[in-house]
Amino acid sequence: MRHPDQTQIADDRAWDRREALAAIADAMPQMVWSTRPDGFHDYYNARWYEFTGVPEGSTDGEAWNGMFHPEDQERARARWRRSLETGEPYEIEYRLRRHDGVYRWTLGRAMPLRNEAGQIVRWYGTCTDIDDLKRIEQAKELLSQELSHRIKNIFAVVSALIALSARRFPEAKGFATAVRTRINALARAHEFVRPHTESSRPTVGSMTLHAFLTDLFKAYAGADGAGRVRLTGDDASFDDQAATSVALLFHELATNAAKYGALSTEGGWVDLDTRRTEERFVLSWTEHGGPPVEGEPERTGFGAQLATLSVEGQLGGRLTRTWAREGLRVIADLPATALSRRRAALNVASPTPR
Amino acid sequence: MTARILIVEDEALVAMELRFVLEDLGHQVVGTAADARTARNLVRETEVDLALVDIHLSDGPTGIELGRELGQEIGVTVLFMTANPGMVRQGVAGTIGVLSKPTDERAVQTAVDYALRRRTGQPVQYAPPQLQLFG
Repeated sequence: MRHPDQTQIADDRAWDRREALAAIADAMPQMVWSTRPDGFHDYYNARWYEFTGVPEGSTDGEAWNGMFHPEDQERARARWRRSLETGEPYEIEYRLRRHDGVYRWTLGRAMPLRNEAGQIVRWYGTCTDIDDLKRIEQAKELLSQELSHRIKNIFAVVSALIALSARRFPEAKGFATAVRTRINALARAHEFVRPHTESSRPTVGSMTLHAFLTDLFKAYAGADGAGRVRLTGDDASFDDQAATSVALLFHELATNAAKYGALSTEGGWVDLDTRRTEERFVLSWTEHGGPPVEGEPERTGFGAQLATLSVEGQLGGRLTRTWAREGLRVIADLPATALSRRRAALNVASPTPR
Repeated sequence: MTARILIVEDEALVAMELRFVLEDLGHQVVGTAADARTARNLVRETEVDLALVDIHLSDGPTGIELGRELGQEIGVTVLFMTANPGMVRQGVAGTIGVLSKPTDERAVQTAVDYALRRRTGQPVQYAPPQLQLFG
């Protein structure tokens, strides 16, 4: 029984196989092409000629390359050459010129057909228009950058608002300064947060914990410009969920050290080590060379409470303080995923193939 | 030393606070521009020693080219102040360096002092740690 949608076949004689295949290829929504084993293009389906508008046969041989955007031609030629030499499947994105002169992003793919001896006898390929997808990707990228810029701007505005408001209330200057420095720490941390689109270019050198810490501690450098917080160990990236906690923890540690501890004297310094193990990520802050430590303070300051809340509440870790005579030692013991919960959650939802 | 300073910043509140900070330090703020054209006009009309320039202005990311022009062609000492210091990572000809926003009063003071010392040819030993120098 003949299905009404099937290509009409004249009769039940043995079909010319090539004609039958060509009929199928011409019915497909994608552009289809085929080459000899040496890469000589000798077949394109109807879609190719409709899209490119070129005369039939004019892109045979190597002439296909001229249909690509000039910036993509060399790359495509090299990639095709590699497939011809190695037999590995061909796949590449490039811009293909449409009949109206507009270049559209296209996905080109091809697979070899081998005979029984394993030799390649033909290549069959397709071109799929992915221009809309590419534009959406680029729009997302721009939006992400714009959002990032806006967030940074809002922090600056909030900080300025507090400073301006405090000018009318001289007695509140201390309060305003305390709040502003914390907000500034938050703003800086968010600059180092990995953006959500994986393809985003980092706008700062690198978006990592060590980069952020190096930047944060610049303000506490010695008179000669030498850093007084010595950073060692494993770097990590951190996401927006952890940024606030990371910022507040280190801001409090540094401010406290600058007021009462190792950073309050010329010769003092801090060893900061960040180490990753199988299950944990441990941050160790050890002060040296500051005024002798008398012991645990009677009352916990607000800053210390903020630090504890950040580590234990927000990051789900453990914060311990030891008031050694030589200097304060603080250890933040975090679950390995604490700094990048979002990525960890994504990995659980759709695990990356090993 | 008292300097005549131009603020190029499109967030009015940030510009206002910066103005107060500079005036508290004894400098004279000759104007605030939110876009490149206003900045160019101001520089044509008044003497400017130092310009603090944000990169993203109300007419787009025009601060970089503006800073270069002010520095190289008009002889203004230029410091960039931006939340995106990475955008001038390679440095900008004719300008001194970049301060990361948000800043604090001390960072602004030390950076302005340093820039003015450079401008008047006085010896400078170390750049303030929060100021990223170019070249």
